[in-house]
Amino acid sequence: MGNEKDRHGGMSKRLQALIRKEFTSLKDDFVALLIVDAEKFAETNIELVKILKHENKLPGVYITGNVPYKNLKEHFDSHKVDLKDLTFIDMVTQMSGEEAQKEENCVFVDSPDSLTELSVTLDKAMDKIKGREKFLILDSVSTLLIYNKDRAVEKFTHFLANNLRENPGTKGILLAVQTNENKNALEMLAQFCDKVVKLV
Amino acid sequence: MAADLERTKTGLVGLDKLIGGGIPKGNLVVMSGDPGSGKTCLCLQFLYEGATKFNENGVFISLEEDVEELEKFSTLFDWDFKELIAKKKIKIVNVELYDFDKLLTTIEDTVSSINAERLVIDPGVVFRLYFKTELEARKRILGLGKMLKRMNVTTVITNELSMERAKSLYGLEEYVADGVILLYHTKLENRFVRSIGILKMRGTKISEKLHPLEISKEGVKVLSEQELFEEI
Repeated sequence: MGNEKDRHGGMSKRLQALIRKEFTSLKDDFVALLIVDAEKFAETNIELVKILKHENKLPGVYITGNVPYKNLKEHFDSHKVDLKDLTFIDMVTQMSGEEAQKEENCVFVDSPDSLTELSVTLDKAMDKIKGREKFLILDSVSTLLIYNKDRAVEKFTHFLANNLRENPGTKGILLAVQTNENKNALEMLAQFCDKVVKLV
Repeated sequence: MAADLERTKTGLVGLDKLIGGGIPKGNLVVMSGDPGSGKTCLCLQFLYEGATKFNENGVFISLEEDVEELEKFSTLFDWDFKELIAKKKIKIVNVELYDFDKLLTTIEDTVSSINAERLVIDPGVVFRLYFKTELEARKRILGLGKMLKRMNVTTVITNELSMERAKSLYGLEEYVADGVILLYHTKLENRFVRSIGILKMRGTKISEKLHPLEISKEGVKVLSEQELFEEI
């Protein structure tokens, strides 16, 4: 079944249906932890953004800690994802030593270990979005756990989840790839979320 | 209890939120910080905001830097100190380090000359240089604290942090100061991070967390809604 591909986008139909089932039915605000297999990760973020942006017409913020904005944009463009009203926060480019080009819809943070800077930048990006309904995708908490101590990521996630809840109309999805090393930390983070979805 | 006190708003919105709306009027606050943490900037801003937003005159007693250097420093920000000095809203005085009694007289005279309601003494760590013995330093510095409180001028005295511990101001911070604010400029693995914490503020419910700071052309911005996530 895992090889069954959609002719148009290459997305596994089963995965697509699962994501759709889990997230289109959520009417109100939520903070969800979405645990995905590493090999399904690239497909999952495409599908999520399509559901939130194309179908629900929501503006939002996408935090990328795995792939530089430049590459992620190419990835989204190749899958015909509309990037209008989507602000990116890139935690990768500056860390890699590459000079961050000024981009209209992207803000660069030093590195995935700059949690305070990330929090401040995210706050500003969310504030800039007009209207009540919006979304946030954090890609990913597993990356944050590589670059920071578990305790710091727990504190950050707790703060983030509370902040999202204080802003009615906001949907937050925290992406993660589960490994043997981060299993316990993810269990702790799950406590701060309203829902845990496992696509593994 | 916080609502009953008359307060001197620092004018830094984020900081005022952390201390119940401002420093209780006439109180003495010690502001301790690492080098580069923003102490002098924050103190100048305290006086600038007072003069421009709250019509409260202020005095800056500099025990180290020349008046010209401070004026030059202030031009890094969007503040026009020259105009405020010309209008006698603010006075910056450099006091030489040889006579503690002269320092006390200068403080009293300068504050009363413009009816200042705000006072900054920077940096308090050099007080010790006035005295031969620690005992003498302790007695006289505590006396300074009591004098400031009698004058009912809201005062900030800066101090230095070293190895994450504040150098002692000979009991001033423990026995006389009503508030202690800590500014950190901490080196992490590959970068620096600035933050602020309130150790104590008399009659005030304070935040017990560390909060990040930003310094820009507008001065210091305390991000009271944010927390510091890095361990320092």
